[in-house]
Amino acid sequence: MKADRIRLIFVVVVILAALIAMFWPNSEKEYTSFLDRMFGNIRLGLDIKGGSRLDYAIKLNEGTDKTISEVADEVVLVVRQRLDNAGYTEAIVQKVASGQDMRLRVEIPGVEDPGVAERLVGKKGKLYFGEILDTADSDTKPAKKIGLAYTDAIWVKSREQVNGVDRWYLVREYSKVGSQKLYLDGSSVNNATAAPDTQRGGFKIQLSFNSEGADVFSRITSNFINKQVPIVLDDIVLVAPVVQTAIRDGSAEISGSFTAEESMEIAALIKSGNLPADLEKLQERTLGPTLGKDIIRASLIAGLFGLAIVLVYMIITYGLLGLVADLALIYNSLLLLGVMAGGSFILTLPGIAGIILTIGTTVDGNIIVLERIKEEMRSGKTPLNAIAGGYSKSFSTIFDANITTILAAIVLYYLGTGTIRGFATTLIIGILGSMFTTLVVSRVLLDGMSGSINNRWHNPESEAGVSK
Amino acid sequence: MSRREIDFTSKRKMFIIISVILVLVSLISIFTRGFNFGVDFSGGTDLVFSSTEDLTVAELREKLADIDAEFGMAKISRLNDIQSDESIKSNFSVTVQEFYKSDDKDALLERLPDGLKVESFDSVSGFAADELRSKSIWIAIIALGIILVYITFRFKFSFGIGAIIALAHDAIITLGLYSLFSIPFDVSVVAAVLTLLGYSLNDTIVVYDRIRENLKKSRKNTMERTINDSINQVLSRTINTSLTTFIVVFTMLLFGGAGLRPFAFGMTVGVIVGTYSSIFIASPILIGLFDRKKK
Repeated sequence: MKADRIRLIFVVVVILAALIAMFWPNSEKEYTSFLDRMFGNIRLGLDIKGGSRLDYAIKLNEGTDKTISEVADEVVLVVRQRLDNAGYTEAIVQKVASGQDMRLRVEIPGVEDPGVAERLVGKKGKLYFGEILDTADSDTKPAKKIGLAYTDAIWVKSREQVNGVDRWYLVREYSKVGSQKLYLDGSSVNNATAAPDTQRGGFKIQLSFNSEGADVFSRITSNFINKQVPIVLDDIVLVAPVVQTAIRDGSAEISGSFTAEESMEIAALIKSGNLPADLEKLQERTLGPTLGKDIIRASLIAGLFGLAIVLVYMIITYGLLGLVADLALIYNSLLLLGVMAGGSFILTLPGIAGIILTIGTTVDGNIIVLERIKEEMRSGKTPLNAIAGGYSKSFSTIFDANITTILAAIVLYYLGTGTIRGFATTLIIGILGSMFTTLVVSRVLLDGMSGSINNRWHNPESEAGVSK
Repeated sequence: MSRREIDFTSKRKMFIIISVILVLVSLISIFTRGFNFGVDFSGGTDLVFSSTEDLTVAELREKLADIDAEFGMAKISRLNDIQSDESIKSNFSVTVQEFYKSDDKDALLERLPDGLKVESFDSVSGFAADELRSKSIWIAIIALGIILVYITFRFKFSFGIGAIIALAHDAIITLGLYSLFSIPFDVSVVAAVLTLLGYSLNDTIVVYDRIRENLKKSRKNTMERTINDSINQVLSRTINTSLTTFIVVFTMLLFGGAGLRPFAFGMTVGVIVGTYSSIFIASPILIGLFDRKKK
């Protein structure tokens, strides 16, 4: 019974959190109906709600021998990767050919703030570790330095000002060690992640290099001890740390007290590689939903109708026990909606597929348990004992069935892009919720009403008919 | 409630032959007819229409479908905040699969009803094609590999093989039906197929779990007997679960409208195929796999 009390507390806390996430007032919106209120905090995808459409002209770099079409394909891949890394899995990236021109089209769900997504699309994402030849503080760009020692060097502005004046670094894209030029850029980076900076406050970016990059980085750091090495992204010196010791394990940190948003953007840019061309924004438009109100309405009604039939079916088949399964199903649906509202998940048609599968596994989990309890009751156990027995026997079934699906969903998440990644997210959350509902929520309800369960399945005379 | 045993396993050869035929027909259709890819995959022509009336998406679709049936399945969305003159009440972006060549374009323009005008005419790439094609094989191999390892670890290697055969069976037959009936294949269909695989795997594991339990309980029975008993013991669960899921997706297919049809079709077919495979394929096939191992 003590276990039940702990379970009950869990059940109540979890659903309260979900309901708060769902109904937390959003001052920017006006709610016209209860349904609106209920789904108001869930972000909806392009198919259901519409969003923004941004068109960019693709400007080829000078001296490239690739065709515009090849470059456009690369641009699409890089932009897709960036948006995925920053969580915009439901955005659409495609190329548009209009006559001889090639454009990039990005569609972002929701119209509230295309700002972050826009910054991610527009930037080049070119990162390198260079060499500093000179420093100057000035409001304008310092004059170009002439001389053999300054070959290839350009003035690059720093991200941070010093005493209210811009700081400029005279930077070369490579580091000179003896007569050798050492290049180290974003293509040698294996992974870039944002992490809280416990020493300086704010956020930092952690980089790990591939083996070749680690080797070059080790040579640069061992030759530039007590000197600054600039980390340049899109012609801005993010930070120019002084090298303390040679770093040989291929990991580096960019700690410049970034905000969480900044650090995530920078990490997404570095991880996704350079844009092979410049993008120039041509137009921005607001898009209505592709599925249309009529279709959404019809599918919502179809969904609710199907759900109602399931609820009735369960009560007819299992009586009071079926009512428990129904409550569990409603509980899990609310939980899922709450998580979708609380996290920044975007609901699209494929997401709805994930939800249907979740409804399926919740009903299924409950049916598995109920069938076991029936079997236990047939052999003459009291309801409370039958519930305990039914749960201990069905645990491995529910566990194995759900874990295999979650494993497959994790593969989809890590290797998939765009919508497929979004689908995997919904699936993982839904299945975890369904396991919690079946194993914990239903258990509390069943134990609570065990006194009023009538063992209609126990018939001592037909005991022989029970499975062998 | 009578608890008569149904004999699932003795006729297993027949079901396996039926499935092999279905899989072959599906494969032939997939490789010869291919799929009716939607604009998500194949790309198409993107037209911007302006109208002097304040149309809804559904009304525009109807008007355009009168000219060319192709527009019935077009991806249409309303475009807002375009600066244009007072007489224009609504603008739409319409993507159709058919590529209109320049002379087709003129023919289309002539047949447009009054008040409707084409503002621009571009071709767009299929955004989902590269994303999915390049990686889908790897995703499938790695996901199946992990499932195989997990099932081998929790059950036996032969169970893992059985589960994977059943998954491949379900995926191929469902995709085959899309190909045979030329049902538009868009991104939501990929999600539907993945969902049905998750569902079918779930079904298979439930039966396997019972077989595992019964194998531990009694070592006297033959494998065939144990498997048949296990299928029978979980039968009422299988029927109840499948029926409830079927109800949800079938109402979607019936009342969800044309836009949802490709998606709901896959889900509905998937429930049937997934249930069939876990009863008649995934478990009976274990008998063969076990026999071979013993010899």
